Amino acid sequence: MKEGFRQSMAWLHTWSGLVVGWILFAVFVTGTLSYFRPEISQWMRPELRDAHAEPGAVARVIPTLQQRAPDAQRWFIQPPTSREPVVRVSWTNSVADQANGRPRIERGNFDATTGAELQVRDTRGGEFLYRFHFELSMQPIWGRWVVGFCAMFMLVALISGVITHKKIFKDFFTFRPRKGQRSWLDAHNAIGVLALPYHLLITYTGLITLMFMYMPWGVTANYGSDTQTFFAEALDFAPEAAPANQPGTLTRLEPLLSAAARRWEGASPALITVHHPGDVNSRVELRRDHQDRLSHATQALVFEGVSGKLISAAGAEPAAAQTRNVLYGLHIANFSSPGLRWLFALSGLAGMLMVASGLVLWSVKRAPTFARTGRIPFGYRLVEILNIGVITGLPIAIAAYFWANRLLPAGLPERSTWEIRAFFLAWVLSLAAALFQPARTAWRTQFTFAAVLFASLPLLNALTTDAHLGITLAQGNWVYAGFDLTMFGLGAGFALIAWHAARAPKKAAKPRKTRAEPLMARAEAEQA
Amino acid sequence: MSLFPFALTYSGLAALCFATNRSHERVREVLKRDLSALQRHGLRALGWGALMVSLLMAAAHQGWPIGTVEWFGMLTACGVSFVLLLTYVPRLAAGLAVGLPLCAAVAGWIV
Repeated sequence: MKEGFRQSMAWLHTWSGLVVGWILFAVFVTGTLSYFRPEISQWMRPELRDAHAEPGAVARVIPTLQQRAPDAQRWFIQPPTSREPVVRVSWTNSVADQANGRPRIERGNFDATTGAELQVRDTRGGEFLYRFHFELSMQPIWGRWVVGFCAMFMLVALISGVITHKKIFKDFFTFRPRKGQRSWLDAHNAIGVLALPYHLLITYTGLITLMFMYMPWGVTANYGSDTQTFFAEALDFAPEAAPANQPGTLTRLEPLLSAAARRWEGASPALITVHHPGDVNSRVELRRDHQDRLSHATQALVFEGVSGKLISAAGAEPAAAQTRNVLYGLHIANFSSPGLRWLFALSGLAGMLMVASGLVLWSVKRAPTFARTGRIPFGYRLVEILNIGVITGLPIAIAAYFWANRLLPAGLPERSTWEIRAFFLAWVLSLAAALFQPARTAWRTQFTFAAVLFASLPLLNALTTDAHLGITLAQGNWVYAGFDLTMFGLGAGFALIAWHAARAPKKAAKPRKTRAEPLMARAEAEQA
Repeated sequence: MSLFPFALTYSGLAALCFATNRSHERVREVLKRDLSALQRHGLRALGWGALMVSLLMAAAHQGWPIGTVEWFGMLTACGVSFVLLLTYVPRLAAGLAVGLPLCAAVAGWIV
C-alpha cells in the first residue's frame, strides 16, 4: 500500500459514499416515512376519518367478500388497527390479466362496523413510499438488487468512515458552525457518530430482510429449486394446499379467531389469509401481529377452511430462524410504541442528514480549487446537479404526491397511477430546474419551494376535505391531525434551511473571535 | 417510554462532555475555568452512572430486548439535541442537564 491505511480508507469512504449516495438518500427518506405507512395511507383516504377499529370486523367482511370475489385464489385480510381502522383486503383473481398473463391483484377497503365495501379515492397511500424504499419503483427484482448493492456500499462507507475519523471520541460533541468546509465535516461526523448504532443496525438488518435473495447459494446447494420446502422447514412457512375444485362452504371465522387469541396470550392476528375460499380444500391461515415483540417471527396457525380444524401451529423456532426474525423485526420496527417509533424516525432523519451532508461535503471540499482555476469540470457540475436534484427534488416530489392526492378528481381512471406520475414529474422538473440555475440559487429556490409545498398542505387539506385540523384536533383524531402538524413542521424545517442557504456567504466565513479563542489556540499549540 | 430515563440519558451525555472536553470552545465558555482532576473524575463517574441507570430503567420498564433498542434511540436523540444546544445556547444546554431529570421526576410524581 503506497499511502497510509487511513488515507486509503478515506479514499474508499469518499467514493463508496458518493457513488451510491443519491440512492441511499432516497432509500433513507422513503424508509423513514415507511415507519408511518399506516398513518400516511390513512391521511391519503380522508373519507375514512370517522372509521373505528372494532372487534369482530373481519367476520363481517366475509359475506361481502364472498359476493365480491368468490373465485379468488386467495384473500389477504388485514384486520383494523388503531393506526389504520379499516379492514384492508387484497385478492388475486383466478382469471389471468390480459396484459401480462399473471393473476390480477385487486384491493378493497371495508368498513369495520358494517362490513360493507368503502368508497374511497383510489390511492396507493403509504404503500407506494414503502415499496419505493426497497424497489425504487423499478421491476421488483431489479430494484431490490440495486438497493441491496447500495446498502452493501453503505456498510463499506460506514466502516471506512469510522476508521477515517481521526478523533472519534474527542470530537464526539463537536460542531463548529459558520466555518465553511469545517462545519460540514463536523455536522457529517457528529450526525454519523451519534446515530452510529442506528446506521449500522438499519443497514445490516436491511440486507438481512432480503438475504435469501442476495445470497441464495446455501439454500440452492441443499434444496435445489425446491425453495418452498426450505422456507417451510427453516421459517415455518406453511406449505400450500392444492384446491380440490369442488365447492365447499367456509366455516365461521369467530371461533378460529378466539382459538388464536387463546394460543397467543390474547394477541390478535395481523394477517388472515384464506386460500381457495370457495373450495372444499380451503385453508385459513392466521399470522400473529408483532406489537410488543422485537422478533418478526411468523407465528402462524393454519385451519381447514370447511371444518375449522387446526392443522398446523408454527411458533417454536430454531435459533437461526429466531436470530433472523429479530434482525428482521428490528428493521421493520413494527413492535414499537409511538414514542419509540418517533425515536426510529429521528434516527432515520439523522441518516438522511448524514448522507446529504456527505454528498454536499464532496462538493464543498472541491469548490475552492475550481473557484481558483475558474474552470468547472463536468464531474463536479454533475455531482452538484444531482445533489440539488435529489436532496431538494425528492422532498418536492413527496409533497407533490400528497398534493396530487388531494387535487386529482376522485373519478379519474388510474387515479393512483396519476399520483405516482405527479411524484416523478415533480422530481424530474426539479432536477431540470437545477440544470438551468446557478447552484446557490437552485438550492435556495428549491428549498423555499419545498417549504411552501409542505407548510401549505394542512391548508390544502382544509380546502378540499372534511378531515382538516379544525375538525380532527377537536375530535382528538391524532392520525390526521398528527400528519397535518408534521407536514407543517417539515415545511418550517425546510424554510429554516432555505433561509440558511440564502444567508450563508459565498466563501467560508472568517473564524469568529470569541473569548475562548486564545485559549483554544494555546491548547492546540500545547498539543502540537 | 417514560420521561425520566430519557432525561437521565441527556444528563449523562452532558456530564461526560463537560468531564472530557477540556479544549471544546463552548465547554470553556460555560465553565470559564478548568475543572480539577477530582471534579473531572467525579463528573465522568456521574455521567456513566446516569447512562447505566437510564439503561436499567428502560430495561426494567420494557424488558431487555425493547429496552436496549429504546436506550440507543434515546442516546442518539439526546446526543444530537445536546450538540445543537451546546453550539447555539451553551448555558441552556448545561442547565438542562440538571433541569430535565428534575422536571421529569416531578412530572412522574404528579401524574
